[in-house]
Amino acid sequence: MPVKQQPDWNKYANVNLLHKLHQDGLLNDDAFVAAKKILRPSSAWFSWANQLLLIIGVTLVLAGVIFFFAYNWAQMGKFQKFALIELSIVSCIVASFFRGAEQLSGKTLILSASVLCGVLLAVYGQIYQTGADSFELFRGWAFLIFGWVIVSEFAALWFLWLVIVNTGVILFWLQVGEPGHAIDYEWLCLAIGIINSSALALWETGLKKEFRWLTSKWLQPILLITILVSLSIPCIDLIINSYDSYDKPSSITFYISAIWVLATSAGYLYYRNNKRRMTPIALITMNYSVILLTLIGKIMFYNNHGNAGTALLFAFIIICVVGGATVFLKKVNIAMTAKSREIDK
Amino acid sequence: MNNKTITIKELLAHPQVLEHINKSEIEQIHYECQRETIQTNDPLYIKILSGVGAWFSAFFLIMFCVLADLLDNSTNATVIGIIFFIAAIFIAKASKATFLDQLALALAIAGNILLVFYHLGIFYNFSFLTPVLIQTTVCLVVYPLYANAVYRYLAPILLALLIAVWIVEEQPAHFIHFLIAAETLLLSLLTINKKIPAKFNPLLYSAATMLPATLLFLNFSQISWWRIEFQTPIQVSSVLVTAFTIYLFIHLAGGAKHLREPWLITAIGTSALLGAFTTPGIPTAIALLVLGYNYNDRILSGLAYLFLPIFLILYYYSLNVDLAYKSWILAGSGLILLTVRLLAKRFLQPKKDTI
Repeated sequence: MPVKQQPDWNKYANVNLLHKLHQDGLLNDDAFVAAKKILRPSSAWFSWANQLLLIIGVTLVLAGVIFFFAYNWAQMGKFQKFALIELSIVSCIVASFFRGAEQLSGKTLILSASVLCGVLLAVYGQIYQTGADSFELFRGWAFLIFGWVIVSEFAALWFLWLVIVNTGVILFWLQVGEPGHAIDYEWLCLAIGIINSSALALWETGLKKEFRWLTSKWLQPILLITILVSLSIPCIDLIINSYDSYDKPSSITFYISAIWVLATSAGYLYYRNNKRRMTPIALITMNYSVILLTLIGKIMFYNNHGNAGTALLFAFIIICVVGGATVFLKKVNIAMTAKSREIDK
Repeated sequence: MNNKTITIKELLAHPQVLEHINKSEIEQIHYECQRETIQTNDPLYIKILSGVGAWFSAFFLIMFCVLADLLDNSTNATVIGIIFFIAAIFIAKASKATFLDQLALALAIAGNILLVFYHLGIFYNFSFLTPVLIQTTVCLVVYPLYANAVYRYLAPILLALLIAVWIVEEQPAHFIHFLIAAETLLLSLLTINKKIPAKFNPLLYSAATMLPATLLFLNFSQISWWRIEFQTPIQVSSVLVTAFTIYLFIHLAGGAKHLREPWLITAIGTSALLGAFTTPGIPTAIALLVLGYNYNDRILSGLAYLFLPIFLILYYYSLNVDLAYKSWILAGSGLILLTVRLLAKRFLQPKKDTI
């Protein structure tokens, strides 16, 4: 059932609402075109296209630079290579200084310099082959660009930094932890969970302090999904292997499962009562549904594989769990919308 | 870049709008706003949750049928599939309760799978055309009868997938261009027509998913590690999607009367160049990006942001040149885009609009 939302007469108009009014026959064609031109004038289109050209253009140039050094030019001396990259890094930073770090082009230049730092480290590894593990490159890279990440006030650069840190941690586990089973995979999940939870907490703090550069919404669901996935894997492992006498889960699996319960409950309460944001609540609810269904499925199908009745019952249980989650989310949405309106008044 | 901050009331009172709308229309909009009759669809997360849940419950429903020996011959499977469909339509029409809605969706998905994949033993001379025809019939019959956005989105995608398999297995490779032409036509009809009823929105998203996905398949089939013999000139599809992109730009600009506008010439020229020298997926992803921005539609924008990097990577990957040359091409194309941006800022920037 569609959720009823009242488009308040005095609320801000937007393109979606205009389309809805037009589609419902409440707004005629000419009025729709005129109204849309006011909401989305040519200058808005121009600035959108401009940003797009900048982002794609810079991405292509950086990809070209990475490919250029990946080719490992034999004719090029090592000092020439270093000089070229270092000169590019310095040029990006100087240009960003003159352009202004508050401009998108200035921020993009800092991002380019940060990517080039990674290229510099890769070329260093190419020239002086020390046999070091590749996680060290990511560790050094994250360390080197951290200052720029702080001053840039650019969500995309924070995201790049988090990708580098996460990749470094995963590579560390693959290259140091996993061989010889020195470190259980649960510790990797915990580390990923902690890193991304800290980033999410910082992001929320930044929003509270009204940092304008953090208002874009795309980073939050990515961080939350990463946290939920990393903490859910040991939980699912615990459910699936808890009956198994040969492959009993270790104690860290229990602790992480407890952390998952605490983190999701705290997250739900925070986003429900404090922030009133639906996307995180929906993600947490979906996560609960998956864990609950895994638990029910394990109980039902344990020693009961080929039973037709069990399959039918489980199909209905899935419908009930998902239906319940949907009803719950709709109710929460309505309650939060009402609460927000009350506060607005 | 974002919508201007103006209320609905102020917008309708704006002189440019006011000259096209009379007082009674404004009162009607006001009245409808007060009555709360304007309903928004379920949010995307509910659709995803409901779709994934129904998919898994459909799997266990089919598993139940298999374990209970109900599918021991294809006639039974067909009959059960039809019963599932009828039940889904009946439940959906009889009740709007969430649980029943979810049950109906699971039954519809299970019914669709049974009808398309389980009947195949009936025919001695098996042909991939049969599931195509069945799915076409299912889409034509069920789409108007069963008003569920998730099913309406998934069913046409399955049809396109089956057609693609049929072409790969049994038809000359160039037939794929007919599929791409049909998907392009569908997408253009659904996006360019101003007043398409809301029930076609899922079909629009299907078309917006199917077209780049088919182009991606076409791209993959042309690179060397594709094992099936499936070679066809990619340019035919390039012409089709480039024509669509150019038409879309002209349409969004307000018609052919704006053809002399320098920015429109730039947009058309860029599309033509991209169509001529790159893969057809790139102008398609750009068209989706433009559509997403025009409709302020997150799904269309999301699809564009998903497919654009994939097509870019695939294009540069499949260039038959060495890494060094490729790096020059990549950096060169990036520099061209940055130069276009610089020139556009200097010569084409429109004046700031004021409300």
